Amino acid sequence: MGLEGVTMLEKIYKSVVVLICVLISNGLAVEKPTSLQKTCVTEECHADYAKKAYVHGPVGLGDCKACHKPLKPEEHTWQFVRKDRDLCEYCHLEQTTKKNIHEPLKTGDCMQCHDPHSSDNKFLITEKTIASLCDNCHNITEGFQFLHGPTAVGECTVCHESHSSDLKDLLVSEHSQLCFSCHVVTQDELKKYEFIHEPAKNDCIGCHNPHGASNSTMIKDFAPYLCYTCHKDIQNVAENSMYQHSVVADIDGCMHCHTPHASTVKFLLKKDAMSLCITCHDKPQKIGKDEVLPAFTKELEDKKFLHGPVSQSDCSGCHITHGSKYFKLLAKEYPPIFYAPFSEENYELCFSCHAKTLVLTEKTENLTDFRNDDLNLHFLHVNKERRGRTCRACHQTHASNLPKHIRESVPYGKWELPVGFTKTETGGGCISGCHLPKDYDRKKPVDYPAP
Amino acid sequence: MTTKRKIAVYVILVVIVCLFLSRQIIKGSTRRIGIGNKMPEFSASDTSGKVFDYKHGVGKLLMVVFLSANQKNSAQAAADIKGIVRKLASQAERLNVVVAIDDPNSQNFFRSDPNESVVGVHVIADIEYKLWGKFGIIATPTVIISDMNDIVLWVKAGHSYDFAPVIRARLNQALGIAQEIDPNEASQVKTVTNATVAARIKRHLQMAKMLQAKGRIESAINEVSKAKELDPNSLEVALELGELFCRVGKNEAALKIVGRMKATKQLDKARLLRISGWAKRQMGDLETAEKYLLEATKLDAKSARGFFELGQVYQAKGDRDKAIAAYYRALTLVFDGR
Repeated sequence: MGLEGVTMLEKIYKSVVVLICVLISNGLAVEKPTSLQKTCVTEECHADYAKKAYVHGPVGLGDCKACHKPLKPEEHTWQFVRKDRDLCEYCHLEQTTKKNIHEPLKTGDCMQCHDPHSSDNKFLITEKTIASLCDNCHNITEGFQFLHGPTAVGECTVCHESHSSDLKDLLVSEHSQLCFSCHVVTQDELKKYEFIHEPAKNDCIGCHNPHGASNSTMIKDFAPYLCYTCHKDIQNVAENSMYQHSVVADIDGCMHCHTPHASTVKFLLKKDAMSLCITCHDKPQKIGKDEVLPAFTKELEDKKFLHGPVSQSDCSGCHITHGSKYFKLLAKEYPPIFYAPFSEENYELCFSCHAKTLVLTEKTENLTDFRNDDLNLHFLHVNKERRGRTCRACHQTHASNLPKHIRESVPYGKWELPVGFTKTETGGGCISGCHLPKDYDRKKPVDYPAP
Repeated sequence: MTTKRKIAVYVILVVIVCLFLSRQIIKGSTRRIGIGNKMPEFSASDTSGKVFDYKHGVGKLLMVVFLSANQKNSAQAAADIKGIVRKLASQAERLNVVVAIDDPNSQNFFRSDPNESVVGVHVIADIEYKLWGKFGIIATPTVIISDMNDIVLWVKAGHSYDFAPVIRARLNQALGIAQEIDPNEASQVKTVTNATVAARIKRHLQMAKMLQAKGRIESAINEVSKAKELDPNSLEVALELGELFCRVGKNEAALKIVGRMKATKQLDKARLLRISGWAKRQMGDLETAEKYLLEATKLDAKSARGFFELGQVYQAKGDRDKAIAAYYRALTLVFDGR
């Protein structure tokens, strides 16, 4: 037998095998019915519909006509009994009654998420988990290192309705309530606080990304940028002031002093003002190219008499924390040079707490203890045509060892001129380099001849 | 000169000398008032012309607030004081508030809105600083609070970060109003601590409850397991996890987790026994299950689950009457609960 003969034989064998297979399969295959049947789910037809863990109601009852009607039964062709969203809504009306409807439901594309017959997943969803189902359209976790609890475990429906909601983003409840449904401790704690950050009351997502973020607290951006989205006034001060507080511009700088949710004190401070300041100002701080601010705590060491705001731990009594147009971040005008002449305007800072009348009234029995009888010695010191003395000439700004935080000395070139102030029960006196020794007494006034 | 006239002259002279001396004493002494001092008595007209007399022994406490016109801090302090006094409501009847302002125009601090008038507040225009002198005020705002015995209880100068909490705490203290905060610690700053382990555990448990309500038991178990990682010794976590394990038939796991827990409260003891009984029943150990569940229902007679499980045990044992009774009790509790 030649080569051609062998090839021919192989072809015949193959044809026979194919023919046998076709005959067998035709013999085993079920003919599609060409007339109406009681149900489509039988052992022979569409059997797999009934074999999954969860079966759609009508399928379970074998009532296929709930959704399908025959088009040409003899050709085994069918059509839906209702069109578009009416098909599912006819039974599942309650799913679309709310104000905001999930996009697939609007177009009646329920099968985008559900298998209409049966599924191994609860609610007949087409994916194994809700997360993977939602992820088909909503890829919200890309680039996140940290995921919010429900997102991390793929439980989107903890916060969102699947079908419809009266609330935006298909939320299950109002923002203000939704977060607190899990964050109960925070809710309970907030009730105890007087000063609560406005978003913490009802708008957590003002600061936090509800799905996740690249940071563990899931904030939308780092401070100060996040804070500036609302606190434009602070941003303006921080960025445009002549004198800026460097820490404010640091990443997370705001959090050095402020707590984001609630505090027992105003401005949502984390600690008392002075404790916050001395986290940095307990050591010298470089504030310019060649300028170093001495350690504030050094100024207080062993000092007996503190200026009011210092004794109240309230640095912000005189300083503006975020930025200022006055040197050393002062709140109001105060001369940067020691021997600046006195004027109300120059010492506006001091007069934010102390009445101007304290120095502008010549005779008084009420305004001050610094008087000889009723002659106001503040008035006498500042109101001189030449070399009028000022607040800072006599008073140390933060603290001193003399009553009324009087300076022990004043700078005079390279010399520290002693002040020599002493206080008595009814007055006091100075043996200073500024003038001849002088005393004063409220009860027995010292008699000084008129100049 | 008659004797009567002589006496009259002497009396007048003595009075004059006394007045002079007292003036000299007042002039000379240090003015500043401190904690523990007696509040000075005074009389002053308020801005409506009504005279306010402060005398000792009236049994009312006094808060004197010194404010300065054109001072931002004073305006903020005034707003705080208004809020604090308003919240005191009827308690404010035992309180007199005197607001001393150095400029009559600044009475607006307290009178800008007629609907906002605060009861018991006397606004005094202290233009000549007489009250300032009496109390030794050198800076504003300054607040001085006395107790019912006219002794100075607190002096607060400046409108610092802790102004409102401190003033409120001291007023409450003076009025004898119960408060959670120790007045001596009112200036201490506390902040919300939602990052504590306890707070995180609570979050996981809450989420587990929500998932459980949605029938997502495995996810709920995952959540409670996270809570357990945070505190393996938490009884609350163990109880939650034990119940969830029972619900999905992980009986060994349920017994293991509650087996090493000790409860002190009656309801917690009942819950531990209920979980053990539930797990044992599902494992087929009906005798032990019955024992645990009987004990559990005795300790907590309001648990529907306890009676339901007991019914299951009796049904499995073929004790129909007892099963019906237990189921009936469970159903009653379910419907009563609604």
